[in-house]
Formats: sequence, C-alpha cells, structure tokens
Amino acid sequence: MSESGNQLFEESGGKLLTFLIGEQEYGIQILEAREVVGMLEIDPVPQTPDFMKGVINLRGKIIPVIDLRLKFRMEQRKPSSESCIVVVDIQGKLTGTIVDFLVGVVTIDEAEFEDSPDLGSNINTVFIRGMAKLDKRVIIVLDMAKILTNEELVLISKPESV
Amino acid sequence: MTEHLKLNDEERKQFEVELLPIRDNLNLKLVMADLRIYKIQGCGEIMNLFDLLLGEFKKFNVPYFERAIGFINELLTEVVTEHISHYTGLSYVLNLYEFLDETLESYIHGEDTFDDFDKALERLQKMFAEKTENLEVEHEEPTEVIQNLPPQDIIDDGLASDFINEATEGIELVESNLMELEQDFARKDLVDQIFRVMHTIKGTAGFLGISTIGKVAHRTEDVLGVVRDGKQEIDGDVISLLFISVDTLKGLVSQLTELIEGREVETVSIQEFFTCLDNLENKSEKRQQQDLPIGAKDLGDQEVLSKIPFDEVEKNRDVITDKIEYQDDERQNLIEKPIEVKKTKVSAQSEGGKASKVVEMLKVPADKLDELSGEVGEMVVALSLLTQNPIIAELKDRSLHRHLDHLEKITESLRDKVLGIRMFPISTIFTKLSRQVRDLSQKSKKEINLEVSGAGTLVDKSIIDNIYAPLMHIVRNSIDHGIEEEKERKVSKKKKAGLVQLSAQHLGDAIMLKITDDGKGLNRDVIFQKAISKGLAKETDKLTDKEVFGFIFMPGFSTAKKITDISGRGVGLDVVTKTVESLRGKINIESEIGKGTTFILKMPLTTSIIEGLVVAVGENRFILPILDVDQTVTPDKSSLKGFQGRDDEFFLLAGDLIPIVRIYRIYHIEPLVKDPSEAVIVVVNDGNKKYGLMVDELIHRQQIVIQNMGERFSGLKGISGGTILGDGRVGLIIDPVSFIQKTHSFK
Repeated sequence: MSESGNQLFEESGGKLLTFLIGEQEYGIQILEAREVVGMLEIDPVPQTPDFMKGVINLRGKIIPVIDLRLKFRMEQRKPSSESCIVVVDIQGKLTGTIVDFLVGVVTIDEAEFEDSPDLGSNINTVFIRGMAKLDKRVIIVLDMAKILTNEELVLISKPESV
Repeated sequence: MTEHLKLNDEERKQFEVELLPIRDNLNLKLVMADLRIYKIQGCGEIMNLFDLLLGEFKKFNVPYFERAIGFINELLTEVVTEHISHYTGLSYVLNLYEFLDETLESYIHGEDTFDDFDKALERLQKMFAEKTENLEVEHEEPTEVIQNLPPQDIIDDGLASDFINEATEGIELVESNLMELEQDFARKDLVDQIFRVMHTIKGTAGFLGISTIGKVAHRTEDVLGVVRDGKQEIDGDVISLLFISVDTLKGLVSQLTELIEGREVETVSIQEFFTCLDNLENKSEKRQQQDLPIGAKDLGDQEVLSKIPFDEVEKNRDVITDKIEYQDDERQNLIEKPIEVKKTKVSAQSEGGKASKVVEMLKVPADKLDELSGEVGEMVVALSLLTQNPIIAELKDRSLHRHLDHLEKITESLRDKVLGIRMFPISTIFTKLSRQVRDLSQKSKKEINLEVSGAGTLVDKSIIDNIYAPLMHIVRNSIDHGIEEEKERKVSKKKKAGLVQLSAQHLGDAIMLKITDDGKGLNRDVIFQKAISKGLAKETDKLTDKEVFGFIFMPGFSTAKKITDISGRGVGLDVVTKTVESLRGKINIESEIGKGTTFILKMPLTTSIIEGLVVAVGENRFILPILDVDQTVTPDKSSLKGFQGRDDEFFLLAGDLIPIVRIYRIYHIEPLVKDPSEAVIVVVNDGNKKYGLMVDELIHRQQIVIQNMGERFSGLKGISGGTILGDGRVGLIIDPVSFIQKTHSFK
C-alpha cells in the first residue's frame, strides 16, 4: 500500500468522513477534519485561483475556503441548503472546504482499500489517497494535505493594464 | 448474559496493564471533547480509542462490551454528522463510558456480573431510540426530570451561576408578590412584575440552553400574558398555578446548582405544574367559547401557538437522563483541573522593588498572551463601534455618556496593560549592538565611538525579536561604507574617531529608531549611475535625493567597490526593508555628502492593533493603515490629467501630479465607480512619492486587530493581513508600499 494509504490506517484507523460532490462520494481521513459548519458568508480574496472562494470568519478566526467542485474542474453550482463547509486541519492550519452534502463517518478496513489507480496522464491523482469499495459504494479518499499545498493557492495574475 | 471465559489472575493483571494507557487516554479525550475543543477530530480520536479497547477485549476474549462500544460509535457518528447535537451525543457517551469504565474496573478486580451494565446499556439505547423518534413527534411531558449539566463554557464563564442567583432572587420576588396578589386580585401591577421576572428567566434560560427552566417560565409567562390582557380573570386556580410554578422553578434551580457543584442530584417533579396548566387552559378555553363565541377562534390559535413546546427549539439539548444516576464528581474534577492554573498567584513586579526582594515570576506561554492581546483588541474595536454608533452618539443622556467614557477609559487602560506585558526595553538590542560595534571597529581598523540614547524605550517583544538583524546590518553598513578611513577623516578635518549614534524614542503610537554616522555620506551620483546601469532609472529621470537614496534598498544593490569582510556581498539593505515592512514599519534615509548618513526606522508600537481606514471597492472591504494615509480627496474633473488618450491617470493636488492607482483594476474587482471624480482617492506616501489609491467609498475609521492570513496567502502581494469587521465580515489589510511596488512591477 502507498504511504498515503498507510497513513490513513495508522492515524485514523480507516475512519473516513464522507461527503458528496455531485453524485460522487468522497472521503477524508477523519483526523484531518476539525468541524462542519453551515454555509457562511464568504469574502473574496483578490488574485487567487477560482477554487479559492475567499475567507470566512469562523468565530473570530479568518480561514480560507476552497470549493472542491472548482478544484476538480466541475461546473460551479450555487450552494444549496445541504451544502456545508468542512473545516480541515492540516498541521494546525485550518481551511474550509465546500461540499454538496455531508454523508457521515465510515470505517473501512485495509481489504476494502485500494491505492489510487493510474487513470492516465490526463487525470491528476496526486491528491487521491486511494479508493474504498464498500458494497455498492465507491469512495474516493482524498489527501487534503496534498490538495492544500501552497503552490496553487496564490496565483498572481497579470492585470490587463495599469 | 453472554458466556465468558474466566481469566486467571495473571491474565487479569496483563489485561489491566494493557488497558491502562487506552483508558487514561480515553478519559482525557472524552473530557477534551466535552470541552468542545476539537469537534470531529475529538470524536474521531475517541472512536479510535474505543476500537483499540475493543481489540484488547477480543484479544483477551472478553466480549461483553462489544455492544456498548458499537453503540458509542453509533452515537459519535451521529454527532459528527450533526444529526444530534454535540452536547446530547456526548452526554450519552460519557454516561455510558463511566458505567463501562466502572464495570471494567470491577471486572479486573475479579467480579464478573454484568447485569447492571447490560441494564444500563439497554436503558440508554432505548432512551436514545425514543429520543430520536421524538425528534419528529411531540412527546409527553416527563414527570420527573434531571436537567442537563449546562455547557462547560457557560459554567466557566460564571454565566450559569449568575443565572442561578438572578433566578433565585426573581423567584423570591415572585413569591412575595404572589402572597400580596392572593389578598387582592385587583393588583395588576403585581401581575406585571411577576410577568417581567418570568420573562427574564425564560430569556436567560433560553440563551444558556437551560431548557426545562425556560419551558416552565415560558408557560407561566403565557398564562400571565393572558391575564394581563384581561382575557383571563385572576382566580384561585391561577394563583395556585403560579405557586406551583414557583415551587417547580425553585426545585429546578436548586437541582441546577447541585449539578454544577457536582453534588448528588434529586429528581424534580414537573408534572403537577403541567397538569395544573392543562386544567387551567381547558377551563379557560371552555369559558372563552361560551362567553365570546366570535373571538374564541383567535384565542384558540394563540393557545395552540403557546403550546408548541419550548423544546421543539431546544430539543437537541434536552436529554432527560431519567433515573440514571449522574455520577458527575470524577468528571467534574477532571474538568476543573485546567482551571486551577488560573488561580496561580500573579505577583506584579513593583517598579521600586528592592533588589534583594525576590519577585515571583510567572512563566506563561507566549501564545496565551497573544490570545489575550488579540481579545482585548477585539474589545477595543467592539467598544469603538459602540461609541461611534450614530444612535448612541445622538442620545442626550448624560449618565450614559459618562458610563461609556468610563468604560472607554478602563478598556484603554486594560489594553495598555495587556500590551505592556509584551513590552521590553530596547536596551537588550542596543547592548548587543555595542558589542558588535566594538568587534567591527577592530576588524575594520577604524576607531569608533558609539553613543546610545533612549535605551529604556519600551517596544513590543515581536519587534525586539526581529529588529536586531536589520539594525546590525545598518550599523555594519555605516561602519564599513559610511565612516572613512583615518587618513581620509584627517583630510576632511573630522575627529579621528568615527561616531555612530543609536537612538530610540516614542513617537505617538509608533517607535522611531535612528542610526546616525558622521561618515562620508551617500554619494548621490554614484548611486544614480549604478541605478542606471542596473536599469532601475534612466539618465533623463529627475529624481529627488530621497528617491535616489531609495535605490540602495533594492535587492542586489551594493555600491561598495570592494567586498570586505564586513559587508558588500550584495545581500544588502533589501533584507532590512523586508524585515521592517514585516513589522509594519517604514525606513527612510537622510544623508549629506561629507557629513554623514542617518537611517530612520519607524514602526508601530505593537504589531497587533493598528488604526485603519475601512474602504469599499465593489463587494470587497479593504483597510488602509492610517500611518500610510496622507489625506483623502475626491478630485475635481478639472484636476484630472492624463496622456495617450487617457485623461484620468493623474490628478493635481496642491501642485503635485499624483498618479491614480485603481485598486479594482489591479485586483480585478467590479467596482461601483470608475470615474475618479466620483470616487474617493486615498493619498498614500511610500516614503518618496505620493500615490492616489482609488476606492468606491470610505466606510469609516477604526482600530483594527490584525490577523495573520496564514501561509496560504503569503504570496499575495500588497495584502498584509486581515481583520474581522464590525459586521462580522472579513476585511483585507492593504499595505500601500508593497501594493504600489506591485503595480510598478507590471510596468
């Protein structure tokens, strides 16, 4: 198993917090999640990529919020009453993630887990820990630390003219 | 009961040893989860620990707790997915775990009856199942209740005990009013007074989530409301209901006290109250229907409304723990432990304290102080919002303004004291620099005299921590490039020994540091030539001294002809600028050829609060630090100038031609206003030149508590942080200097 997969079982005992984006169920290692809050007002931050929706005021703390739909190049969708923000904690840094629907907690064992398949060069699988197969459910297990690497988050765009 | 293998003594011992760390950890984690520090992570960790526990049980073939742990995991999942409140879920988990832990303990010590445990588990499961069902249907009022322990933060804040005092006083008042009312049913003033007390109790109880008390007070208030509106006569039934209400509330309040103090808790019957209430309502409905056939329907509706139980709203908190004994002592102890730290005596250092007297010092983690100063900052902001509130400002009530002034003074003094904790004299830095000067003087074979003034000036710890390196750099620079060789000094009739002066002083809310040398001064022409060769300037540029001197802060700019041991490796003054800017400061140079150079550093006293101007550009709110703002204007159409077909790229202000920098263009924001003669121009000064930042409108000026936006936004040029504004939204703090540099880099 990949290192990223091992980590999942060592740290979180195979426990995932799962949610839907579109029709697909995704999961993150439960210890990466800090809390779930409803949709809050998001203030935009200039010069950031699309998927960086802006910042929210989480009880007095400013934290960035990303939209996984946009990160995964899916069409943008207006938040519904079921959308919520999953606050993830990567080494003490909090980041909000907009998801369409929170499913719940599921525990998978190692036999149900597979490393991320090679989907060809078109699809970036760096931020996928692997896939979990439970009966008819297929859960894509994300590696939030990889999704939230700094590189892509701040994009300096050139203005047309000054 | 499940059949089981008996463990022999040795196995038991090993079982105990292996379980110990898991159990300890569980105790800790459960308390932490109860304090709601980490919601999901907390639950996740707890689930893992239970899994470990289960693993051990399997290993030792002790299967009894499987079902219980399964149930606990189910509960925790419900909490994580927010199907039940954190509080409700954890009450169940804690109750069950306490039982489990106890049973485990006795099992380890040789007992193996699990009947009690099984029963408790079944009862809890049944209650939970009922509760979950009851989420949909209105449930019967229970007859006997034990209330929940209010959330720990409310207990810690003293809100719960304030409530108990307030409620107790109120209930006593109601009781004495009732006695009077019983004598004279016509006393409407007494009804009003009782109504007010019930209203207050209901409100506070609702706010604190103490739902049973809230419910009783609410229903009592309803009855009183009907009486007050004249729709119900006061009679013996009403009076006796009110007496029952008082008794019920008394019982509930004292039960709450017992809960909070961790004492044994007795159940309180609320059935009498509700039965009495129902009787009264039925009676009144009947009478209303007889007396007022037309109005009856309206009133009927109203009655129905008031019957919607209070707990529909608060249902999630409302766990009725029925008759399970709430053994709270241990848990309470655990919770209280961290609080004891607060009781540690803090001994203030007295200024004139004798040297012989040992001052008791308290080591406190720095982030605690940061939190404290952050919160005090928020308080200062909240208060300034309050005092600036136009409604309050217009009120002519003298005493209100006196109280507000008083509050403001206290707040300011509190802020100063809190900030004062972080303040240290800059002498520590100056001492280190003196040593360096001595070393440098030997190395460079130049005789140097160092003069220091203002060493006692207090500055924020963060400045102390960061300012040494840049100051060192400047001092090196002064000694290496500024002060001439001995021979040269002789020629220019200067004293043999070079002079370097360090000074520090307060300047309003800022600190000013000066490093002066009496060396040869900056050679304008050399710098200018170098700038041209580096492509930073053109031969034809007409620049002020300040602008030319500004070049030496550019990366890789060194005019030293030879690289010495001390400086001149191209790692230059740009590092100094960066550090000073990170402390929200500014750096300036004054220099006269042949006479010497002075570096002037200005920094805010603290790095956490600034005075800022809140401005709007489209949907966004930005903050411009007041220190950087010269003035704000809306230019006349006639003062707008431009070139190449654009006619609004500059404007004339008191003879200066000031470039207009449009924030919306740089940040790609859709603004409300695009015409400078309708917008507001905030004139800022980057030390050399003035720029006009164009915004839609000014919102107001206020003190801003700076929050770091974190590494994720560290690459964002021009934005130095964020803050929570009065309306809860986030405002981004623009650092004008780097913002303007950013616009330059696009040219």
